[in-house]
Amino acid sequence: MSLGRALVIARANLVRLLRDRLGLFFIVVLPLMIIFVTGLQFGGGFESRVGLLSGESGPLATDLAERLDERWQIERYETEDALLDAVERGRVAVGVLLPERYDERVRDGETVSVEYVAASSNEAIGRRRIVEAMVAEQSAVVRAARFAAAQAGGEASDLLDDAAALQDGLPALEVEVLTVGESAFPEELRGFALGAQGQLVLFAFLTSLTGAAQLIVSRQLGVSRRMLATPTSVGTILLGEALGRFAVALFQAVFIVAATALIFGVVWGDPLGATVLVMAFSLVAAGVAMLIGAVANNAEQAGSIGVFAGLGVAAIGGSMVPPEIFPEPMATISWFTPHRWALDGFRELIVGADLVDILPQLGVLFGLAAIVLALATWRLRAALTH
Amino acid sequence: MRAALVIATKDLRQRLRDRTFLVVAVIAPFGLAAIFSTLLGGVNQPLELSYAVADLDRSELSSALRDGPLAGIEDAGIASVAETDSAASAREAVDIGEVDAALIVPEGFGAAVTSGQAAELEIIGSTDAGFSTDILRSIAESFTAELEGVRLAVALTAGELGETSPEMLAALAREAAAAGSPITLTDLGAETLVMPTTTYFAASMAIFFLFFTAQFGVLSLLTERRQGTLPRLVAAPIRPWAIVAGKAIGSFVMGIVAMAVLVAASSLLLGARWGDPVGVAALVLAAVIAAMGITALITTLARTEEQAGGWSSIVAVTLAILGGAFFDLSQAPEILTRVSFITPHAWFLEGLDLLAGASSSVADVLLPVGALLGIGLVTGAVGLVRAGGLVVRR
Repeated sequence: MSLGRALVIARANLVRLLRDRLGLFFIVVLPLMIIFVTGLQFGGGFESRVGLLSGESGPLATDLAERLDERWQIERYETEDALLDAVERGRVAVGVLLPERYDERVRDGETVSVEYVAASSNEAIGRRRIVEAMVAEQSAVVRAARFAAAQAGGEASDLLDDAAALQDGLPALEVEVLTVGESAFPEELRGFALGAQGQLVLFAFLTSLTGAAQLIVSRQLGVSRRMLATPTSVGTILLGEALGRFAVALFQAVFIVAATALIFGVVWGDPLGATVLVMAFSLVAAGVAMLIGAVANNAEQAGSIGVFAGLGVAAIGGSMVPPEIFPEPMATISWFTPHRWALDGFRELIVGADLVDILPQLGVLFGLAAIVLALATWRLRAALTH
Repeated sequence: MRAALVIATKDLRQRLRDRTFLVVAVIAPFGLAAIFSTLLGGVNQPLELSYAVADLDRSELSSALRDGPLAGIEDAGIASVAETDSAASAREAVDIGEVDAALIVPEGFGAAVTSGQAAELEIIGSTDAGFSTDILRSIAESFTAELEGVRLAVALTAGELGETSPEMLAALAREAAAAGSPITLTDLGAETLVMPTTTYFAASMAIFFLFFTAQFGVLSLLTERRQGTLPRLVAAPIRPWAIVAGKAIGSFVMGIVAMAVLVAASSLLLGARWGDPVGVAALVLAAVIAAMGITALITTLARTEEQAGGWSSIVAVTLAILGGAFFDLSQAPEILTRVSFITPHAWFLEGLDLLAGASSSVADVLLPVGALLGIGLVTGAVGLVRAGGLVVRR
């Protein structure tokens, strides 16, 4: 078995990959696009907007509007229909509607209601609490003024300023909230890291799989047989093909690590640990690709089924939606994919683990790689020599 | 015309036998939609909150909290509230996950409030039970806000009256509490004009893969040219446009059938709700035309099948990402949402969102349907003309 010749075969694979300019889109541009968009979405870049309807300019209305504006990104609307439409369509997360003649009605002694509208979602509750607190604060001042006026005589509107001043002076009744427990999503995972990790495993696997189609084609075209006719042993060819798939997967993975680190500032953790983890996962990807290439007979089918299967396994393994939020049967099933183990390793690395800490994950991945590569080698040898 | 139909029928039969086509047209989109639905399926679970309360104060005020709002949510059946006798046991209950969050009323709370001093309620919530914790926090904050309101009223009035006797203050407090809040926050219901998540996955995968399904038709023109069957067709006593028409009809039927199967399968097997049937049919039809137009344009611009396949794939993926088929763009910055509407994907999904309302009908989706048809007809016109040129040229 000649390592030199095996490397030649491997290099040919890699060169073929890089020369295919259309294919480069899927290897270079697409993963970065997806990481960019997921980063924006999950990294809190999409600040939810709050809609406000308030045609009023009285001091009370303005005060409320200003407080809301300080807290969130406010979109103002002119009519109730427009705001409701925006909430229903999801353009703004929630809407706050101040009634007409707000200040006037409050000063007249009326009971006024500020309306809150949300197309019922979890986050709407959190916001409601905050809006309610703002409204309650203003309401307390008005209530005190009215009450004092009723009891001691005088005009409520004259007492508003006194009430406000008094409110500032009184010690607050607070609600302190303490959170316990480790969050499934540590601080380090914010921003683009989550997307980067997920897309790395997705694309390294997929790109390697697309190479499987090439292997089938070269089998079908008889290229492999011609290689056998030269003084090259079957072992060398097998090693070459395995190295070729490995090189492709590794290239994809390393590219994503480097690009995301440079462009998005993603931290991958301990360099040695990350390198070995990437290599382990690439080996598994290589093995699976080689197995498909050895076993399947129709390049087109293998191509499309490979893409679909690759996407499916990646989804189940947690590379599109973080596996931390999987509901129960899926959460357990995800551990049957190499993706989940690799992601687990990356999650540990990003919070400071090193090579030794991720030995379990590495063990599983290398073990899986050994099994798949052994199977693939056996099948490919059979396919080439019969 | 008959020639066109014969070509179309032949193409259909050929394609139905091609497993790759079936995977791309139906199996893959359905499979992925199913996977995503299972992964994110548990979104609309009924509310089941569990809290623990440690009342270390045992005052009139802390009882009011316990018997008022907390009993309220228990009676409404949305929460279970367990009493514990110490802060430590409350905290432990949260730690071990027995409850979502705990409320602790410290000793001396009631006394501090009535004597005008600062006081504090403590909530301990589990990091991964953010929603439940928020609700408990909401309840606690409403309670303290009410207390602060009464306290302010009493303080201001006592100041005006020059009153200081505890009995008078207590009487004032009771009256102020009864007076109620002049400004309240009320809830206005709103319909959700956004399709349910399961439908979103089914729809986005359907429209994404439609662009791969649609390219088979025009691509086959290039294949036939390479294989040599195209010149033979041209040599036959049929008009060249009949060949193009045949390919187009075949593509159209395949697209419609694939989408129809996906709509039916996702509705039956995944519980997706697409909305008014006529509206959905109109959107699907228009989307197929848009897909056909775009893929025809791209394929006829390419010189080889491989190029055509590659460019089509790139365009399909890019349009899908820009159009919000992979990520919900509704809360995205204005510019991203505006840009998304160059894509047929955005219009298709927008149309389905509009159909999500209880009383929506096809009339509501005239704009998206129109936009899709517009995209399809414009790109399709160019594509068809070029396809015709392809047939006639050597």
